[in-house]
Amino acid sequence: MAFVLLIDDQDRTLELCKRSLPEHSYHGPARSWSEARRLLRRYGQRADVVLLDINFDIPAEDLLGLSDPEDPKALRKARRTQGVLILEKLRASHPELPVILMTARDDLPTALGDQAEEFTHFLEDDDLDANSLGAQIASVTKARRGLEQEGPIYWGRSTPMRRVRRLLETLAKGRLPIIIGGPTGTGKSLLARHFVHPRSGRRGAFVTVDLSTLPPELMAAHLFGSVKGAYTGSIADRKGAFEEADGGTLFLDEVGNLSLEAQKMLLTVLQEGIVTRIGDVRERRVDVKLVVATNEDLAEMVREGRFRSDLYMRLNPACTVVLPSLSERGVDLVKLLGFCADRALAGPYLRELVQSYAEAQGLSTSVRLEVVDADKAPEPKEGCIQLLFPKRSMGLIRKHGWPGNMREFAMTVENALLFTFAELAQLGRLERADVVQVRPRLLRDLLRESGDGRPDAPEDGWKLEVAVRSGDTLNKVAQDVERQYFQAMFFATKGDFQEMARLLMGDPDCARKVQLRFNQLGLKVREMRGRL
Amino acid sequence: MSELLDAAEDARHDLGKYICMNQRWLGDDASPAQRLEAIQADLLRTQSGPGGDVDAFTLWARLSPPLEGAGQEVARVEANMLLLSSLAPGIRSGVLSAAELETVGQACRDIQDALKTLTRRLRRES
Repeated sequence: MAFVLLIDDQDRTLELCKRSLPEHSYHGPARSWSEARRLLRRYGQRADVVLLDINFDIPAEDLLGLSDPEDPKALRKARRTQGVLILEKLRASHPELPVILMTARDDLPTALGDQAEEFTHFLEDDDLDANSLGAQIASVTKARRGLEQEGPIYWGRSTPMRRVRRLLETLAKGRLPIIIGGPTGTGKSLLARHFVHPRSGRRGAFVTVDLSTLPPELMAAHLFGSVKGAYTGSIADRKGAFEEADGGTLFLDEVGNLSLEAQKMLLTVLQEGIVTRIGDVRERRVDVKLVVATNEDLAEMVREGRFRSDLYMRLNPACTVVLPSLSERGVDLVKLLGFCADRALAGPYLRELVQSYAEAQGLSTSVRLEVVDADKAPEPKEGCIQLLFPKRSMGLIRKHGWPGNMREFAMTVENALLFTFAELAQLGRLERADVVQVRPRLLRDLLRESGDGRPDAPEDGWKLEVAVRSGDTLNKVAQDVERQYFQAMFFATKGDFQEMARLLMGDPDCARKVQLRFNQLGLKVREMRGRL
Repeated sequence: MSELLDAAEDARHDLGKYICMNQRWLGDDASPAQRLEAIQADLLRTQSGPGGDVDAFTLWARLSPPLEGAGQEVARVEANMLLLSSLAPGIRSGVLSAAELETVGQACRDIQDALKTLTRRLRRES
């Protein structure tokens, strides 16, 4: 069953859909962008697909993009292209929600441009029937759910993660090594274990070696094995990680820490496919898929002489996969919240807290948590506590830089749930106990503790100009500086006055005062917003 | 030329899109009664809105003047509309033989196809 939203000025498609494809659930039709916006706000997170018409014969006041309502040509054009304009608006808030445009592709009144991407599909309205629409909905839903089932930490639907997926699908099956780069905490080892290894077609083991925890003098023995007496304390013959991973995958984390001696030996293994234990003369053939990870710039290390260039070239640097930081995965955040909430719930302390809360409130104790990105309480769901992240909470999550990436994110989510449920445990019976709000104030506190909360200035600081002309008063010069400071802060906080008020006065509720000062200084907020 | 293309696009959307919409959504196993019901919806309530329903004949009378002489596709639509007009009493009263149901269905599909062809040709030529 798919959750379908309809944006159409007619009821006809909805009636036909309900009659001929009753297995899906339909909401709408929204007859204009303002109605569509309401529909999306309410159901956007749950929707699998949107059916969007192109032509909207609706009153002029409901039309987007109508320059002159008195001009019949302009009116006709706005009606004929309304679906395209609605799609443009929809994409701003739902970049990856699949949309089926009910029109012939060659019949579009204007080119769709960038909107004609992989999440926009076309159905010839002349050929639209139960079979074609049913097949299209099924294919879109399958693709969407396929993505979700993969697990959002190392997957996700954001553009950078989709790029990673495409690259890794190919690289995983090949015999060449893979370099996985990206900032700390982005899930590199998880990706190697849960994505590359299963798709490599190898039946052997997945073996991980974290090179940041091994003393340099023991690295070679750990990787390639050793024989008894090869070094002090070597009391028996020992297999190395390469032998352990024979027929499987060897994941070398923090490969930048590899000692120069071990680098030389690794090069031999990659060239010959042969490993020799330390202190031994016998060569052993190994067949290993090598995946290495680093958050360092290996090319830079080569230039500095800290990493062998011949080894670097053997590691297949041309196909380096770089995992995006969390701040680049805006569209994945809600799913990631759900994923982290589920993982946190698997821990004993939170599970007990949630269970005792559920018990006290007369809910089923075998509850699951579901994240809802909305301001209002959604409809109840059987066996489910809905975690409501209101707009302001989501705003804080989206705005935070997440320097620790998934690691920091997962901890913040767990802390937020622990504090929220601990607080709720003190309260009596609640009217809507199945809806638990994660309040912005709590998140603000948690995020403040994980960073200094100040907007990032460029490395060499914000540069302010002081121009003093003949006859300028000190007040005028000071205002010039203040104006520039406020402008820099405006852009650093992405125009969030509450955040500016918090930074300037320690109180987000003073946003109005900050805005007033902007006006006094002659700063044009609307114009500045246009430059964000 | 652009006015002619606009008129053709309007006809394609307002008439061509809807004249066999309900019929198209029927399954292959639809009964004659279901076919008749779909034909009635397509031809007698071709356009529906707050102002009420508009049938295909009224719509064509409104849409056709700017298309006069635009080409053989318009002549095809005219011929089919004439045929449908001759069967209109039966469509309205719900009394159509199996052969007439088939004829009406074919005429509707032909109108849709003619308007689609006309629009594409005019767009190529413009």
